[in-house]
Amino acid sequence: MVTEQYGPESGFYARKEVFWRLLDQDPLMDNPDREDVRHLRRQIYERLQSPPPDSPSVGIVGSGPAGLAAAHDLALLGIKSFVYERETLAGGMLAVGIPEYRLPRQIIQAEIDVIRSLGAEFITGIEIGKDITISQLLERHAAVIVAIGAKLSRPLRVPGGDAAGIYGGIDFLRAIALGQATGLGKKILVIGGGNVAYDAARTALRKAVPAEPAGLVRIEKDVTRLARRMGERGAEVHLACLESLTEMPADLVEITEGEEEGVLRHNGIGPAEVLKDSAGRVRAVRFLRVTSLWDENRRFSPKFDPNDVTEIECDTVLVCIGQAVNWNLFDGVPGLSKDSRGNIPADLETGKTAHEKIFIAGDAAYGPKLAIHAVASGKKIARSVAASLGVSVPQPAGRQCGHTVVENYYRETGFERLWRSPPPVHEVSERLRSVRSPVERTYSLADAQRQAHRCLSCNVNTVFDSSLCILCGGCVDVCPEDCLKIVPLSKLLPTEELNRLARETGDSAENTSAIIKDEDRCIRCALCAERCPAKAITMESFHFQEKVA
Amino acid sequence: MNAQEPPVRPDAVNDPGDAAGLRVSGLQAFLGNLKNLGVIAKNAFVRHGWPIRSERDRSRAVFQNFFLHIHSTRTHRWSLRPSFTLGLGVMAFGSFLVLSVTGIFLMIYYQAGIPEAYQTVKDLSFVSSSGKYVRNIHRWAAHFMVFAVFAHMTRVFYTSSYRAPREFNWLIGVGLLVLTLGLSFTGYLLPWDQLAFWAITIGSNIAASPREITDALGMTGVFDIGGLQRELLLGGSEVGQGALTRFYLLHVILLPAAAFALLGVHFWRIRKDGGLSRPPDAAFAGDPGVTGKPAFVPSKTYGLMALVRGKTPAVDRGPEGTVASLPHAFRAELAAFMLMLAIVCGLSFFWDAPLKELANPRVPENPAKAPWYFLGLQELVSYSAFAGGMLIPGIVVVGLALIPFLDREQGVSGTWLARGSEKKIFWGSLVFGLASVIGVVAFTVKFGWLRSWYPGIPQLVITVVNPGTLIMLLYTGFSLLILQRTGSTRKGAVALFTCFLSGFLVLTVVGVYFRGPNWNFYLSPAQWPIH
Repeated sequence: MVTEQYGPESGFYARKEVFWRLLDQDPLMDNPDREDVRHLRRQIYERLQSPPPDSPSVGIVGSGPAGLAAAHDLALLGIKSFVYERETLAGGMLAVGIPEYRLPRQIIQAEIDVIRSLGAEFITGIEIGKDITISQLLERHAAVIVAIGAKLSRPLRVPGGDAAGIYGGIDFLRAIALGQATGLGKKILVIGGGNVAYDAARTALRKAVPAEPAGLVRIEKDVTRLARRMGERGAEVHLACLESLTEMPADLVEITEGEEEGVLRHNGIGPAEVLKDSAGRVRAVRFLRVTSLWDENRRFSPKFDPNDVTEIECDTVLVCIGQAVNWNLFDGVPGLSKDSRGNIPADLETGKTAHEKIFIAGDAAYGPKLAIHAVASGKKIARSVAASLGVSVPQPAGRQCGHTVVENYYRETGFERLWRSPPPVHEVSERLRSVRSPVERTYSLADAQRQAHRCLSCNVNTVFDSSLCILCGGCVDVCPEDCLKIVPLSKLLPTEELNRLARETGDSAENTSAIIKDEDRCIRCALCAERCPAKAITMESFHFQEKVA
Repeated sequence: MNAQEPPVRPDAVNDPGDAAGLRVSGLQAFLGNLKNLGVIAKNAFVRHGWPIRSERDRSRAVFQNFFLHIHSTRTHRWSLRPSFTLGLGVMAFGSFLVLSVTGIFLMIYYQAGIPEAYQTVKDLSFVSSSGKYVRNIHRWAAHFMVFAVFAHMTRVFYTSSYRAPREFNWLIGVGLLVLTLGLSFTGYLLPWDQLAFWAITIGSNIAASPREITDALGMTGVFDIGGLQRELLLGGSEVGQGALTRFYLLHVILLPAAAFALLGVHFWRIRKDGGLSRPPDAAFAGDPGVTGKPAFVPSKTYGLMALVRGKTPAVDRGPEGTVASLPHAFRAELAAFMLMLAIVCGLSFFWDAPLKELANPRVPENPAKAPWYFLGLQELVSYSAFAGGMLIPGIVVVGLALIPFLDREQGVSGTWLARGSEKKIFWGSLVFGLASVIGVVAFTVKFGWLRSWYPGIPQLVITVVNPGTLIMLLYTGFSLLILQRTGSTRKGAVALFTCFLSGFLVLTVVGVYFRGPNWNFYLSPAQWPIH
């Protein structure tokens, strides 16, 4: 089963196609020696068989991207792992955080199936500290990887912050993903300017209760927005954040798509008070205008104008102003202690904690980041755990890198003129149909090919030969992107490295010139290399090889 | 965005069969190539692609095109500001081109013989279609070129653009000035009319003027350098067929070839010496007249590419503030060229080039006047042929050539009279220069000179002490005084240059407007005696 999918071959993953080619298409087909292939296959198969049941196993708390990655890599290293998941479905934030319109559930499931097929066991619906204690886990497994993510919504600490109708954004998204009741009203206010805030706001748009009858529609100037908002779902979704539009941490695509869908954005205001109605439910939130976000040391420290008050009426508030790790589950575990900020410290590279059998991976180790960071962390920590169990882990054994001259390097005419086309998206009405309706479509083949021409070939570098350069300035002149510059060495900030290089050129700093280049602007058009009369500039391709042993 | 075309591979049309993944026969390939002949030929002709739409296209177009590549691909915005250069260099070169083209047209008819020369020029003026207009353009473009070259030199001087590393190019420029005057002088004889004949006679007498010295020393019989010079110039002792042949040769072959060669070096040196002269970036930072985005934002980070020994003019002339030469620099150049063309064509339309009677050695023109730019010289020659025709011009040319080598001060170049005190010196020198030359000329007109008072005085004394040398002495003394007072070679140079400029202006005006028959002073030609 394993060889059908992946197989580690001295640390590299050989795809099944490789084997098939070996078996079916190789000229060896007609060779009586090809019988050897059967033995090769058997060797790999037996090596990757599930480990014997009595061998040490690893418990992984949390089946999010970090936990999944750790389980995957541990399985490839021949270590049995058990993934404990609080929710009834695996996937962590991938499944109960990221909205379904962004990440279809079957993709998550396909990945989990692969990992399960590699031999990892998934135990869902089990909560540490409730259904099973951490001590039991430590007894059961040789090591425990804690990959519980940062799933606590930071609460809104303003007067009235305890009113009914105020939910954490993360909790809201989780409830939607699990199909639970959300208590969503008609006028929803999302507080926060990040991607989670947009996930919450856009999910709310898709989920909000239907509108009052069409006849009662208020007169509004923006007819299209009105049509979108009232016509589709009938709910108002406001989003308020401290930052200005350009400072918002959310991705631009989230902001623009949110705008298209009718998220009403309020920038530069901060919540000051929650106003309740007689029933104790939120009635409105009072905001103050932000006068500055950063103090003189560029530290986040918002200041408000107490006289500039905005009130936003709402019946539901989704708070998306940050996430925290719920460490309470691990209270009383011997050897583990929290630091001053309430976190359990762990080494980011190895995941090691004060407890020799407990490792921490993903958001729980370093705070909320992207899923891909959690995957990287999970893979790293899996190796660390395997090493601690005495399993031999392929280690990087030397790196080789260098440059190769690309003869006749040429970029096609017009590549620098191509604009970025954003990936196509569905119509707003299509998108808003349900939480499941996807937003983005795929590039057409022609579009994809055209976009691929925008590649700047940044593996190809302009390499300058000091001994040939005659400082004619031709490269600076011909550069269409203004990215090259020749300056006297004395104009550069002296560093040790620079001084060493300067000594090698064997002249005074005043009489030495430095060619400098802004790599961000370079489009690798090679005009400088073409121009150079001394052939001191070559276009060279960078290559890199890391050996694993 | 939808209008984007897919990028074109350079070899896309070379193998039409390839696209379909078909193997094509030789004949098919041939037919395919034939079908695409237009595209293939176009791509071979304009390698950078057409139309030009991006900065990369612009760089490639300028860099890969033979006719454009003498330009830098990028030009600083301030080099393009008309007020810094006034477009005079482009206009001077433009008029040279116009002269070359119209000169070739004139050569179709012209015959350098006596009397065919006069006849063919007369036919050109009165018989050949548009001949007169072409000759007028040639004449006016010649005037314009002399003016533009003088003005260009003045601009370069006052913006101190001769400073290191441009000293050598200044030298080339002085050479081009001499060539321009030489071209004009040699062209003057070719129509072979009275004007031509007598102007050249004066010129040849100037060439013979060292006899003033050799006569005084009594060595003319042994070593007659003046006579030799004249004979070399005229190909004989008188202005005749020999002179015409030599002048024709000089005018259409030797001098233009030399001018083209020096122009090539002149342009090439502009690039090698760091590009068009302009003020440094800092000098005009915040100038509200400057628009356009800065090429660099302060937050840029650079990677070190290489450390190279040595320093060149290209170092630290970064791309900041530059724009693509295509179209910006070319548009500016074209504008200057068109302005020149419009002026020349306009003048040619209204004022004809003169053509007097056939040259007659027995009937002297009175006054015989050289072209306007030589009349200052002629005024000096009237005092003393050797001092005015050879000594003073020689000293002036050598002095001009030496300016960048004697003023080694460094500082802002590219702006007019960069330091405030230079402006003060300029105005002071202008007043002094004008006052002294007008004073000396007025004195000479009113009271005469040494020979009027002591008729028996030896010529050598006149050669040494005459109004011309007196003016030069005054100018030199004044400039030395400024040099001494300010302790600045640049300011001394400004004083001297301004003095000579004012002297040149006044003497030219006197020669053009106030000199009549026998080189007597008249307030207006209406007062000339009837003869």
